[in-house]
Amino acid sequence: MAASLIPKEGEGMAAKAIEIRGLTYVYEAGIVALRNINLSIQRNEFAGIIGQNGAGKSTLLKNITGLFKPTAGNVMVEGIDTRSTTVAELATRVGLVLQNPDHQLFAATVEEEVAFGPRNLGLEPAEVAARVEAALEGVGLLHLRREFPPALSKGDRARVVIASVLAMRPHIIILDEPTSGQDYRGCCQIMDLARELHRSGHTVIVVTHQMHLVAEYTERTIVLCQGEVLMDDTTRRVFSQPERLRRTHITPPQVTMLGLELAPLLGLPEAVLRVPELGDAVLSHLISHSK
Amino acid sequence: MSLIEYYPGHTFIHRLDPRVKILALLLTTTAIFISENFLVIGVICLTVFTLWLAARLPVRVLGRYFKLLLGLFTFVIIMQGLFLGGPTALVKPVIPAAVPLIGGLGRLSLEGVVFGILLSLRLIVLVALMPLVTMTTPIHLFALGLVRLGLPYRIAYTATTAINLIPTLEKEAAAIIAAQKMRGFTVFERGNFGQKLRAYPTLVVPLIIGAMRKAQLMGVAMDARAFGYSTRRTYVEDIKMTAGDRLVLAGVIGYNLAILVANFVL
Repeated sequence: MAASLIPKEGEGMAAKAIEIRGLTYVYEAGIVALRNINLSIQRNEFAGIIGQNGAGKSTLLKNITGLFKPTAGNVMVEGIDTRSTTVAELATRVGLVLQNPDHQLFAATVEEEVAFGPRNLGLEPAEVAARVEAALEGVGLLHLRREFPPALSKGDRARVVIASVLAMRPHIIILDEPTSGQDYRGCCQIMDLARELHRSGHTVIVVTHQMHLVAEYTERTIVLCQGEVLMDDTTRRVFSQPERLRRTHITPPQVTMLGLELAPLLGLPEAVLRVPELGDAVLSHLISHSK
Repeated sequence: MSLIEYYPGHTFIHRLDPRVKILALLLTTTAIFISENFLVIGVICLTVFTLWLAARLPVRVLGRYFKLLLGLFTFVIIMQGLFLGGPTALVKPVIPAAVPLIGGLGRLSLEGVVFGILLSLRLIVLVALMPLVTMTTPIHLFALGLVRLGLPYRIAYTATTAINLIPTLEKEAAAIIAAQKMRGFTVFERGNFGQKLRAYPTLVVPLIIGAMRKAQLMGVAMDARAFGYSTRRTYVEDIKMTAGDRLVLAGVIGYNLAILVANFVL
Protein backbone atom coordinates (compact mmCIF):
# COMPACT_ATOMS: atom_id res chain seq x y z
CA MET A 1 0.00 0.00 0.00
CA ALA A 2 1.86 3.02 -1.24
CA ALA A 3 1.54 6.09 0.93
CA SER A 4 1.55 8.20 -2.23
CA LEU A 5 -2.06 7.14 -2.80
CA ILE A 6 -3.14 9.31 0.07
CA PRO A 7 -3.54 12.97 -0.93
CA LYS A 8 -1.17 15.33 0.86
CA GLU A 9 -2.09 18.20 3.11
CA GLY A 10 -3.40 21.25 1.31
CA GLU A 11 -4.36 19.48 -1.89
CA GLY A 12 -7.85 20.84 -1.79
CA MET A 13 -8.87 18.34 0.84
CA ALA A 14 -10.92 19.14 3.90
CA ALA A 15 -8.86 18.89 7.08
CA LYS A 16 -11.50 16.71 8.67
CA ALA A 17 -12.19 13.23 7.35
CA ILE A 18 -15.66 13.07 8.84
CA GLU A 19 -17.65 15.86 10.38
CA ILE A 20 -21.04 15.05 11.90
CA ARG A 21 -23.25 17.84 13.22
CA GLY A 22 -26.49 17.24 15.07
CA LEU A 23 -27.15 13.95 13.30
CA THR A 24 -30.50 12.39 14.14
CA TYR A 25 -31.71 9.33 12.31
CA VAL A 26 -35.22 7.96 12.60
CA TYR A 27 -36.21 4.68 10.93
CA GLU A 28 -39.36 4.41 8.87
CA ALA A 29 -41.12 2.61 11.71
CA GLY A 30 -40.49 5.65 13.95
CA ILE A 31 -37.58 4.18 15.90
CA VAL A 32 -35.04 6.87 16.80
CA ALA A 33 -31.69 5.15 16.19
CA LEU A 34 -29.41 8.18 16.53
CA ARG A 35 -30.06 11.31 18.55
CA ASN A 36 -28.14 14.54 18.00
CA ILE A 37 -24.73 13.02 17.29
CA ASN A 38 -21.77 15.41 17.09
CA LEU A 39 -18.49 13.88 16.03
CA SER A 40 -15.51 14.96 14.09
CA ILE A 41 -12.82 12.60 12.94
CA GLN A 42 -9.54 14.04 11.78
CA ARG A 43 -7.56 12.71 8.90
CA ASN A 44 -5.34 9.76 9.70
CA GLU A 45 -7.00 8.96 13.00
CA PHE A 46 -7.41 5.38 14.21
CA ALA A 47 -10.68 5.29 16.11
CA GLY A 48 -12.79 2.58 17.65
CA ILE A 49 -16.56 2.68 18.00
CA ILE A 50 -18.03 0.52 20.74
CA GLY A 51 -21.47 0.06 22.24
CA GLN A 52 -24.08 -2.60 22.85
CA ASN A 53 -26.16 -4.18 20.12
CA GLY A 54 -28.77 -1.63 19.11
CA ALA A 55 -26.69 1.33 20.31
CA GLY A 56 -26.76 2.76 16.78
CA LYS A 57 -23.31 1.75 15.52
CA SER A 58 -24.45 0.30 12.20
CA THR A 59 -26.92 3.13 11.62
CA LEU A 60 -24.08 5.61 12.14
CA LEU A 61 -21.90 3.78 9.61
CA LYS A 62 -24.71 3.73 7.05
CA ASN A 63 -25.11 7.47 7.49
CA ILE A 64 -21.40 8.00 6.91
CA THR A 65 -21.37 5.93 3.73
CA GLY A 66 -24.46 7.72 2.43
CA LEU A 67 -26.68 4.62 2.39
CA PHE A 68 -28.89 6.49 4.84
CA LYS A 69 -29.44 10.22 4.66
CA PRO A 70 -29.80 12.05 8.00
CA THR A 71 -33.30 12.74 9.28
CA ALA A 72 -31.84 15.91 10.80
CA GLY A 73 -28.34 17.36 10.93
CA ASN A 74 -25.43 16.91 8.55
CA VAL A 75 -22.81 14.33 7.72
CA MET A 76 -19.79 15.66 5.85
CA VAL A 77 -17.24 13.25 4.38
CA GLU A 78 -14.07 15.08 3.37
CA GLY A 79 -16.08 18.25 3.27
CA ILE A 80 -18.86 16.82 1.10
CA ASP A 81 -22.40 16.68 2.42
CA THR A 82 -23.69 13.10 2.07
CA ARG A 83 -27.07 14.48 1.11
CA SER A 84 -25.68 16.18 -1.99
CA THR A 85 -23.96 13.14 -3.48
CA THR A 86 -24.37 9.46 -4.31
CA VAL A 87 -23.26 6.34 -2.49
CA ALA A 88 -21.07 5.46 -5.46
CA GLU A 89 -19.24 8.80 -5.35
CA LEU A 90 -18.79 8.54 -1.57
CA ALA A 91 -17.40 5.04 -2.04
CA THR A 92 -14.23 6.53 -3.50
CA ARG A 93 -13.73 8.47 -0.26
CA VAL A 94 -14.98 6.14 2.43
CA GLY A 95 -14.90 2.34 2.20
CA LEU A 96 -17.01 0.18 4.48
CA VAL A 97 -15.93 -3.39 5.12
CA LEU A 98 -19.15 -5.19 5.92
CA GLN A 99 -19.80 -7.42 8.86
CA ASN A 100 -20.89 -10.31 6.68
CA PRO A 101 -18.47 -10.83 3.78
CA ASP A 102 -20.92 -13.16 2.06
CA HIS A 103 -23.20 -10.22 1.29
CA GLN A 104 -21.02 -9.06 -1.52
CA LEU A 105 -19.11 -12.01 -2.94
CA PHE A 106 -20.53 -13.00 -6.30
CA ALA A 107 -17.71 -13.26 -8.80
CA ALA A 108 -16.09 -16.45 -10.07
CA THR A 109 -12.59 -15.52 -8.92
CA VAL A 110 -11.05 -13.43 -6.17
CA GLU A 111 -9.46 -11.24 -8.82
CA GLU A 112 -12.80 -10.54 -10.53
CA GLU A 113 -14.38 -9.77 -7.20
CA VAL A 114 -11.78 -7.15 -6.37
CA ALA A 115 -11.90 -5.69 -9.88
CA PHE A 116 -15.67 -5.13 -9.67
CA GLY A 117 -15.45 -1.83 -7.78
CA PRO A 118 -12.71 -0.18 -9.89
CA ARG A 119 -14.55 -1.24 -13.06
CA ASN A 120 -17.70 0.44 -11.78
CA LEU A 121 -15.65 3.61 -11.47
CA GLY A 122 -15.00 3.37 -15.20
CA LEU A 123 -11.23 3.04 -14.91
CA GLU A 124 -8.89 1.91 -17.68
CA PRO A 125 -8.20 -1.87 -17.72
CA ALA A 126 -4.51 -1.28 -16.90
CA GLU A 127 -5.44 0.85 -13.89
CA VAL A 128 -7.97 -1.75 -12.74
CA ALA A 129 -5.34 -4.48 -12.97
CA ALA A 130 -2.84 -2.37 -11.04
CA ARG A 131 -5.34 -1.67 -8.29
CA VAL A 132 -6.35 -5.33 -8.01
CA GLU A 133 -2.71 -6.34 -7.76
CA ALA A 134 -1.97 -3.73 -5.08
CA ALA A 135 -5.10 -4.51 -3.06
CA LEU A 136 -4.52 -8.27 -3.11
CA GLU A 137 -0.91 -7.77 -2.15
CA GLY A 138 -2.01 -5.50 0.67
CA VAL A 139 -4.15 -8.19 2.24
CA GLY A 140 -1.76 -11.02 1.34
CA LEU A 141 -4.07 -12.86 -1.01
CA LEU A 142 -2.11 -12.76 -4.27
CA HIS A 143 -1.69 -16.54 -4.17
CA LEU A 144 -5.47 -17.07 -4.07
CA ARG A 145 -6.35 -14.73 -6.94
CA ARG A 146 -7.86 -17.46 -9.11
CA GLU A 147 -9.94 -19.09 -6.35
CA PHE A 148 -13.74 -19.03 -6.07
CA PRO A 149 -14.42 -16.55 -3.22
CA PRO A 150 -17.31 -18.37 -1.49
CA ALA A 151 -15.12 -21.47 -1.20
CA LEU A 152 -12.43 -19.68 0.81
CA SER A 153 -12.08 -19.82 4.59
CA LYS A 154 -13.94 -17.21 6.61
CA GLY A 155 -10.76 -15.27 7.34
CA ASP A 156 -9.80 -15.20 3.68
CA ARG A 157 -13.30 -14.17 2.64
CA ALA A 158 -13.01 -11.22 5.02
CA ARG A 159 -9.70 -10.34 3.37
CA VAL A 160 -11.21 -10.47 -0.10
CA VAL A 161 -13.82 -7.96 1.04
CA ILE A 162 -11.14 -5.71 2.53
CA ALA A 163 -9.19 -5.94 -0.73
CA SER A 164 -12.29 -5.05 -2.73
CA VAL A 165 -12.71 -1.95 -0.57
CA LEU A 166 -9.02 -1.06 -0.86
CA ALA A 167 -9.26 -1.25 -4.63
CA MET A 168 -11.66 1.67 -4.51
CA ARG A 169 -8.77 3.64 -2.95
CA PRO A 170 -10.78 5.43 -0.27
CA HIS A 171 -8.97 7.60 2.28
CA ILE A 172 -11.26 6.51 5.05
CA ILE A 173 -11.73 2.83 5.80
CA ILE A 174 -14.40 1.62 8.18
CA LEU A 175 -14.38 -1.96 9.41
CA ASP A 176 -17.72 -3.13 10.82
CA GLU A 177 -17.00 -5.95 13.27
CA PRO A 178 -14.25 -7.35 11.06
CA THR A 179 -13.25 -9.93 13.64
CA SER A 180 -16.61 -11.56 14.38
CA GLY A 181 -16.37 -15.29 13.96
CA GLN A 182 -12.57 -15.20 13.62
CA ASP A 183 -10.22 -17.05 15.91
CA TYR A 184 -7.63 -15.13 17.92
CA ARG A 185 -5.00 -15.38 15.22
CA GLY A 186 -7.46 -14.23 12.55
CA CYS A 187 -8.50 -11.28 14.74
CA CYS A 188 -4.90 -10.15 15.18
CA GLN A 189 -4.13 -10.51 11.49
CA ILE A 190 -7.08 -8.37 10.47
CA MET A 191 -6.33 -5.76 13.14
CA ASP A 192 -2.66 -5.72 12.11
CA LEU A 193 -3.84 -5.07 8.58
CA ALA A 194 -5.98 -2.19 9.88
CA ARG A 195 -2.95 -0.78 11.70
CA GLU A 196 -0.89 -1.04 8.55
CA LEU A 197 -3.57 0.86 6.63
CA HIS A 198 -3.51 3.52 9.30
CA ARG A 199 0.27 3.80 9.10
CA SER A 200 0.13 4.16 5.33
CA GLY A 201 -2.02 7.26 5.81
CA HIS A 202 -5.62 6.05 5.92
CA THR A 203 -8.20 7.17 8.41
CA VAL A 204 -9.36 3.95 10.03
CA ILE A 205 -12.50 3.36 12.07
CA VAL A 206 -13.17 -0.03 13.65
CA VAL A 207 -16.48 -1.11 15.13
CA THR A 208 -16.10 -4.08 17.44
CA HIS A 209 -17.35 -5.83 20.55
CA GLN A 210 -13.89 -7.03 21.51
CA MET A 211 -12.56 -4.51 24.00
CA HIS A 212 -9.03 -5.89 24.08
CA LEU A 213 -8.72 -5.16 20.36
CA VAL A 214 -9.92 -1.59 20.83
CA ALA A 215 -7.47 -1.14 23.70
CA GLU A 216 -4.61 -2.75 21.84
CA TYR A 217 -4.97 -0.92 18.55
CA THR A 218 -6.94 2.31 18.56
CA GLU A 219 -5.95 5.81 19.69
CA ARG A 220 -9.43 7.12 20.21
CA THR A 221 -12.64 5.45 21.34
CA ILE A 222 -16.19 6.56 20.81
CA VAL A 223 -18.81 4.93 23.01
CA LEU A 224 -22.37 4.87 21.73
CA CYS A 225 -25.26 4.24 24.06
CA GLN A 226 -28.92 4.23 23.00
CA GLY A 227 -28.28 6.37 19.95
CA GLU A 228 -26.14 8.95 21.71
CA VAL A 229 -22.41 9.52 22.19
CA LEU A 230 -21.75 8.49 25.78
CA MET A 231 -17.97 9.02 25.69
CA ASP A 232 -15.50 10.24 23.11
CA ASP A 233 -11.90 10.46 24.21
CA THR A 234 -8.51 8.81 23.96
CA THR A 235 -8.84 5.06 24.38
CA ARG A 236 -6.79 5.25 27.57
CA ARG A 237 -9.07 7.80 29.19
CA VAL A 238 -12.24 5.96 28.10
CA PHE A 239 -11.10 2.68 29.62
CA SER A 240 -9.97 4.33 32.84
CA GLN A 241 -13.63 5.02 33.67
CA PRO A 242 -15.18 1.58 34.19
CA GLU A 243 -18.11 2.99 36.22
CA ARG A 244 -19.26 5.13 33.31
CA LEU A 245 -18.78 2.28 30.86
CA ARG A 246 -20.89 0.02 33.05
CA ARG A 247 -23.89 2.15 32.11
CA THR A 248 -23.76 0.60 28.68
CA HIS A 249 -22.65 -2.83 29.99
CA ILE A 250 -19.09 -2.55 28.71
CA THR A 251 -16.18 -3.77 30.78
CA PRO A 252 -12.63 -2.60 29.99
CA PRO A 253 -10.14 -5.35 29.10
CA GLN A 254 -9.04 -7.56 32.00
CA VAL A 255 -5.54 -6.11 32.01
CA THR A 256 -6.96 -2.60 32.38
CA MET A 257 -9.19 -3.69 35.27
CA LEU A 258 -6.25 -5.38 36.98
CA GLY A 259 -4.16 -2.26 36.42
CA LEU A 260 -6.85 -0.09 38.00
CA GLU A 261 -6.93 -2.40 41.03
CA LEU A 262 -3.17 -2.29 41.36
CA ALA A 263 -2.83 1.43 40.61
CA PRO A 264 -2.58 2.57 44.28
CA LEU A 265 0.04 -0.07 44.99
CA LEU A 266 2.11 0.45 41.87
CA GLY A 267 1.56 4.19 41.71
CA LEU A 268 0.38 4.05 38.10
CA PRO A 269 -0.32 7.52 36.69
CA GLU A 270 -2.83 6.28 34.06
CA ALA A 271 -4.80 3.21 32.98
CA VAL A 272 -2.90 0.43 31.24
CA LEU A 273 -4.21 -0.96 27.96
CA ARG A 274 -1.78 -3.74 27.11
CA VAL A 275 -0.33 -6.67 29.01
CA PRO A 276 3.34 -5.63 28.55
CA GLU A 277 2.58 -2.20 30.01
CA LEU A 278 1.33 -3.74 33.24
CA GLY A 279 4.17 -6.24 33.23
CA ASP A 280 6.72 -3.45 33.01
CA ALA A 281 5.01 -1.52 35.82
CA VAL A 282 4.99 -4.57 38.12
CA LEU A 283 8.60 -5.32 37.28
CA SER A 284 9.84 -1.81 38.00
CA HIS A 285 7.82 -1.79 41.22
CA LEU A 286 9.45 -5.03 42.36
CA ILE A 287 12.91 -3.79 41.44
CA SER A 288 12.51 -0.51 43.29
CA HIS A 289 11.21 -2.34 46.39
CA SER A 290 13.85 -5.02 46.45
CA LYS A 291 16.56 -2.45 46.96
CA MET B 1 -43.56 -4.39 4.67
CA SER B 2 -44.45 -7.45 2.64
CA LEU B 3 -47.91 -8.86 2.04
CA ILE B 4 -47.18 -12.14 3.80
CA GLU B 5 -45.73 -11.03 7.10
CA TYR B 6 -48.10 -11.40 10.05
CA TYR B 7 -49.75 -8.12 10.96
CA PRO B 8 -50.89 -8.37 14.58
CA GLY B 9 -54.46 -7.49 15.44
CA HIS B 10 -57.53 -8.61 17.32
CA THR B 11 -60.25 -8.31 14.70
CA PHE B 12 -62.68 -11.17 14.05
CA ILE B 13 -60.66 -12.10 10.95
CA HIS B 14 -57.54 -12.45 13.08
CA ARG B 15 -59.43 -14.70 15.50
CA LEU B 16 -61.01 -16.98 12.88
CA ASP B 17 -59.93 -20.61 12.77
CA PRO B 18 -57.06 -20.85 10.26
CA ARG B 19 -58.85 -23.75 8.54
CA VAL B 20 -61.80 -21.50 7.74
CA LYS B 21 -59.45 -18.86 6.33
CA ILE B 22 -57.50 -21.34 4.20
CA LEU B 23 -60.69 -22.89 2.82
CA ALA B 24 -62.14 -19.45 2.13
CA LEU B 25 -58.95 -18.54 0.26
CA LEU B 26 -59.09 -21.70 -1.88
CA LEU B 27 -62.81 -21.37 -2.66
CA THR B 28 -62.69 -17.69 -3.48
CA THR B 29 -59.56 -18.06 -5.62
CA THR B 30 -61.38 -20.70 -7.67
CA ALA B 31 -64.44 -18.47 -7.90
CA ILE B 32 -62.30 -15.61 -9.20
CA PHE B 33 -60.84 -17.78 -11.95
CA ILE B 34 -64.29 -18.93 -13.01
CA SER B 35 -65.77 -15.42 -13.04
CA GLU B 36 -65.87 -13.70 -16.41
CA ASN B 37 -68.42 -11.07 -15.56
CA PHE B 38 -67.39 -7.53 -14.64
CA LEU B 39 -70.23 -7.14 -12.18
CA VAL B 40 -69.30 -10.35 -10.35
CA ILE B 41 -65.60 -9.45 -10.21
CA GLY B 42 -66.60 -5.99 -9.02
CA VAL B 43 -68.63 -7.49 -6.19
CA ILE B 44 -65.72 -9.73 -5.16
CA CYS B 45 -63.41 -6.71 -5.30
CA LEU B 46 -65.71 -4.79 -3.03
CA THR B 47 -65.97 -7.70 -0.58
CA VAL B 48 -62.20 -8.13 -0.40
CA PHE B 49 -61.57 -4.44 0.24
CA THR B 50 -64.30 -4.32 2.89
CA LEU B 51 -62.58 -7.24 4.61
CA TRP B 52 -59.25 -5.38 4.42
CA LEU B 53 -60.83 -2.53 6.32
CA ALA B 54 -62.52 -4.93 8.75
CA ALA B 55 -59.18 -6.63 9.48
CA ARG B 56 -57.56 -3.19 9.94
CA LEU B 57 -54.77 -4.11 7.54
CA PRO B 58 -52.59 -1.32 6.13
CA VAL B 59 -54.24 -0.45 2.81
CA ARG B 60 -51.30 1.84 1.99
CA VAL B 61 -49.00 -1.19 1.62
CA LEU B 62 -51.43 -2.75 -0.84
CA GLY B 63 -51.40 0.46 -2.87
CA ARG B 64 -47.63 0.25 -3.13
CA TYR B 65 -47.81 -3.28 -4.52
CA PHE B 66 -50.42 -2.24 -7.07
CA LYS B 67 -48.14 0.52 -8.25
CA LEU B 68 -45.44 -2.09 -8.82
CA LEU B 69 -47.90 -4.26 -10.76
CA LEU B 70 -49.07 -1.41 -12.98
CA GLY B 71 -46.51 -2.32 -15.65
CA LEU B 72 -47.75 -5.91 -15.71
CA PHE B 73 -51.38 -4.76 -16.03
CA THR B 74 -50.49 -2.54 -18.99
CA PHE B 75 -48.58 -5.38 -20.60
CA VAL B 76 -51.45 -7.85 -20.15
CA ILE B 77 -54.02 -5.41 -21.56
CA ILE B 78 -51.93 -4.55 -24.63
CA MET B 79 -50.97 -8.17 -25.33
CA GLN B 80 -54.57 -9.34 -25.09
CA GLY B 81 -55.63 -6.47 -27.31
CA LEU B 82 -53.02 -7.38 -29.92
CA PHE B 83 -53.39 -11.13 -30.00
CA LEU B 84 -56.82 -12.14 -28.73
CA GLY B 85 -58.65 -10.76 -31.75
CA GLY B 86 -62.30 -9.81 -32.00
CA PRO B 87 -64.65 -8.05 -34.40
CA THR B 88 -64.18 -4.48 -33.08
CA ALA B 89 -60.86 -2.86 -34.01
CA LEU B 90 -59.59 -0.01 -31.84
CA VAL B 91 -56.41 0.47 -33.84
CA LYS B 92 -56.03 -0.58 -37.48
CA PRO B 93 -53.33 -3.18 -38.27
CA VAL B 94 -49.82 -1.77 -38.69
CA ILE B 95 -49.04 -4.51 -41.20
CA PRO B 96 -51.72 -5.01 -43.90
CA ALA B 97 -53.71 -8.22 -43.64
CA ALA B 98 -52.58 -9.25 -47.13
CA VAL B 99 -48.97 -9.85 -45.98
CA PRO B 100 -48.48 -13.60 -45.42
CA LEU B 101 -47.77 -14.94 -41.91
CA ILE B 102 -47.42 -11.64 -40.09
CA GLY B 103 -50.31 -9.90 -41.86
CA GLY B 104 -52.79 -8.10 -39.60
CA LEU B 105 -50.27 -7.62 -36.83
CA GLY B 106 -50.63 -4.49 -34.78
CA ARG B 107 -54.42 -4.57 -34.75
CA LEU B 108 -55.79 -3.75 -31.28
CA SER B 109 -59.21 -5.29 -30.67
CA LEU B 110 -61.72 -3.92 -28.20
CA GLU B 111 -62.61 -7.44 -27.06
CA GLY B 112 -58.96 -8.19 -26.30
CA VAL B 113 -58.50 -4.99 -24.34
CA VAL B 114 -61.66 -5.70 -22.34
CA PHE B 115 -60.46 -9.23 -21.60
CA GLY B 116 -57.06 -7.80 -20.57
CA ILE B 117 -58.79 -5.48 -18.13
CA LEU B 118 -60.74 -8.46 -16.75
CA LEU B 119 -57.51 -10.42 -16.25
CA SER B 120 -55.93 -7.44 -14.51
CA LEU B 121 -58.92 -7.11 -12.22
CA ARG B 122 -58.65 -10.79 -11.35
CA LEU B 123 -55.00 -10.25 -10.50
CA ILE B 124 -55.86 -7.29 -8.29
CA VAL B 125 -58.41 -9.33 -6.36
CA LEU B 126 -55.99 -12.24 -5.99
CA VAL B 127 -53.19 -10.03 -4.74
CA ALA B 128 -55.52 -8.43 -2.22
CA LEU B 129 -57.13 -11.71 -1.16
CA MET B 130 -54.07 -13.65 -0.04
CA PRO B 131 -52.91 -11.17 2.64
CA LEU B 132 -56.34 -11.48 4.28
CA VAL B 133 -55.14 -14.93 5.34
CA THR B 134 -51.37 -14.57 5.58
CA MET B 135 -51.33 -11.20 7.32
CA THR B 136 -53.98 -12.15 9.85
CA THR B 137 -52.66 -15.60 10.79
CA PRO B 138 -49.48 -16.27 12.78
CA ILE B 139 -47.37 -18.64 10.73
CA HIS B 140 -47.45 -21.50 13.26
CA LEU B 141 -51.25 -21.47 13.30
CA PHE B 142 -51.27 -21.35 9.50
CA ALA B 143 -49.13 -24.51 9.46
CA LEU B 144 -51.39 -26.15 12.03
CA GLY B 145 -54.41 -25.25 9.89
CA LEU B 146 -52.83 -26.97 6.89
CA VAL B 147 -52.05 -30.06 8.97
CA ARG B 148 -55.61 -30.29 10.33
CA LEU B 149 -56.86 -30.03 6.76
CA GLY B 150 -54.92 -33.20 6.02
CA LEU B 151 -51.56 -32.00 4.74
CA PRO B 152 -48.58 -34.01 6.10
CA TYR B 153 -46.71 -32.01 8.73
CA ARG B 154 -43.42 -32.10 6.83
CA ILE B 155 -44.99 -30.49 3.79
CA ALA B 156 -46.90 -27.92 5.85
CA TYR B 157 -43.71 -27.10 7.71
CA THR B 158 -41.72 -26.75 4.49
CA ALA B 159 -44.34 -24.46 2.99
CA THR B 160 -44.61 -22.23 6.02
CA THR B 161 -40.83 -22.09 6.47
CA ALA B 162 -40.51 -20.92 2.91
CA ILE B 163 -43.07 -18.18 3.55
CA ASN B 164 -41.33 -17.32 6.81
CA LEU B 165 -38.00 -16.88 5.09
CA ILE B 166 -39.19 -14.43 2.43
CA PRO B 167 -38.81 -11.35 4.66
CA THR B 168 -35.36 -12.60 5.70
CA LEU B 169 -34.34 -12.98 2.07
CA GLU B 170 -35.74 -9.55 1.27
CA LYS B 171 -33.57 -8.04 4.00
CA GLU B 172 -30.61 -10.01 2.73
CA ALA B 173 -31.21 -8.76 -0.81
CA ALA B 174 -31.34 -5.17 0.46
CA ALA B 175 -28.03 -5.69 2.28
CA ILE B 176 -26.44 -7.14 -0.87
CA ILE B 177 -27.64 -4.26 -3.02
CA ALA B 178 -26.26 -1.81 -0.43
CA ALA B 179 -22.93 -3.64 -0.42
CA GLN B 180 -22.64 -3.44 -4.21
CA LYS B 181 -23.69 0.22 -4.18
CA MET B 182 -20.76 0.95 -1.91
CA ARG B 183 -18.50 -0.44 -4.60
CA GLY B 184 -19.76 2.14 -7.04
CA PHE B 185 -22.38 -0.13 -8.63
CA THR B 186 -25.33 1.95 -9.82
CA VAL B 187 -27.00 -0.29 -12.39
CA PHE B 188 -29.95 -1.13 -10.13
CA GLU B 189 -30.67 2.57 -9.70
CA ARG B 190 -29.83 4.00 -13.09
CA GLY B 191 -29.24 1.17 -15.57
CA ASN B 192 -31.56 0.22 -18.41
CA PHE B 193 -33.41 -3.09 -18.61
CA GLY B 194 -30.62 -4.97 -20.39
CA GLN B 195 -27.97 -3.75 -17.96
CA LYS B 196 -30.14 -4.71 -15.02
CA LEU B 197 -30.67 -8.18 -16.46
CA ARG B 198 -26.93 -8.68 -16.86
CA ALA B 199 -26.34 -7.29 -13.36
CA TYR B 200 -28.52 -9.87 -11.63
CA PRO B 201 -25.68 -12.30 -10.84
CA THR B 202 -24.24 -9.71 -8.44
CA LEU B 203 -27.45 -10.00 -6.45
CA VAL B 204 -28.55 -13.58 -7.07
CA VAL B 205 -25.24 -15.38 -6.48
CA PRO B 206 -24.71 -14.14 -2.90
CA LEU B 207 -28.42 -14.56 -2.20
CA ILE B 208 -28.51 -18.21 -3.30
CA ILE B 209 -25.22 -19.15 -1.67
CA GLY B 210 -26.43 -17.52 1.54
CA ALA B 211 -29.77 -19.33 1.34
CA MET B 212 -28.06 -22.68 0.83
CA ARG B 213 -25.76 -22.08 3.80
CA LYS B 214 -28.78 -21.12 5.89
CA ALA B 215 -30.76 -24.19 4.79
CA GLN B 216 -27.91 -26.46 5.75
CA LEU B 217 -27.60 -24.90 9.20
CA MET B 218 -31.34 -25.05 9.67
CA GLY B 219 -31.42 -28.74 8.82
CA VAL B 220 -28.77 -29.45 11.44
CA ALA B 221 -30.61 -27.34 14.02
CA MET B 222 -33.87 -29.18 13.31
CA ASP B 223 -32.25 -32.61 13.49
CA ALA B 224 -30.65 -31.58 16.78
CA ARG B 225 -34.14 -30.98 18.14
CA ALA B 226 -35.51 -34.30 16.89
CA PHE B 227 -37.59 -33.02 14.00
CA GLY B 228 -39.73 -35.87 12.67
CA TYR B 229 -39.01 -38.20 15.59
CA SER B 230 -42.65 -38.92 16.30
CA THR B 231 -45.50 -39.22 13.83
CA ARG B 232 -47.95 -38.03 16.47
CA ARG B 233 -47.08 -34.40 17.05
CA THR B 234 -48.61 -32.26 19.73
CA TYR B 235 -48.88 -28.50 19.50
CA VAL B 236 -48.29 -25.82 22.10
CA GLU B 237 -51.19 -23.77 20.82
CA ASP B 238 -54.06 -25.81 19.42
CA ILE B 239 -56.93 -24.65 17.25
CA LYS B 240 -60.61 -25.40 17.79
CA MET B 241 -63.50 -24.80 15.44
CA THR B 242 -66.17 -22.80 17.26
CA ALA B 243 -69.81 -22.34 16.31
CA GLY B 244 -68.90 -18.89 15.01
CA ASP B 245 -66.17 -20.37 12.81
CA ARG B 246 -68.64 -22.86 11.35
CA LEU B 247 -71.10 -20.08 10.68
CA VAL B 248 -68.46 -18.05 8.82
CA LEU B 249 -67.46 -21.13 6.82
CA ALA B 250 -71.09 -21.69 5.85
CA GLY B 251 -71.26 -18.03 4.84
CA VAL B 252 -68.12 -18.35 2.70
CA ILE B 253 -69.48 -21.43 0.93
CA GLY B 254 -72.82 -19.69 0.35
CA TYR B 255 -71.04 -16.62 -1.00
CA ASN B 256 -69.00 -18.63 -3.48
CA LEU B 257 -72.02 -20.64 -4.59
CA ALA B 258 -73.80 -17.36 -5.22
CA ILE B 259 -70.87 -16.21 -7.38
CA LEU B 260 -71.00 -19.46 -9.33
CA VAL B 261 -74.72 -19.06 -9.95
CA ALA B 262 -74.34 -15.40 -10.83
CA ASN B 263 -71.79 -16.31 -13.48
CA PHE B 264 -74.28 -18.59 -15.18
CA VAL B 265 -77.25 -16.29 -14.85
CA LEU B 266 -75.65 -12.96 -15.80
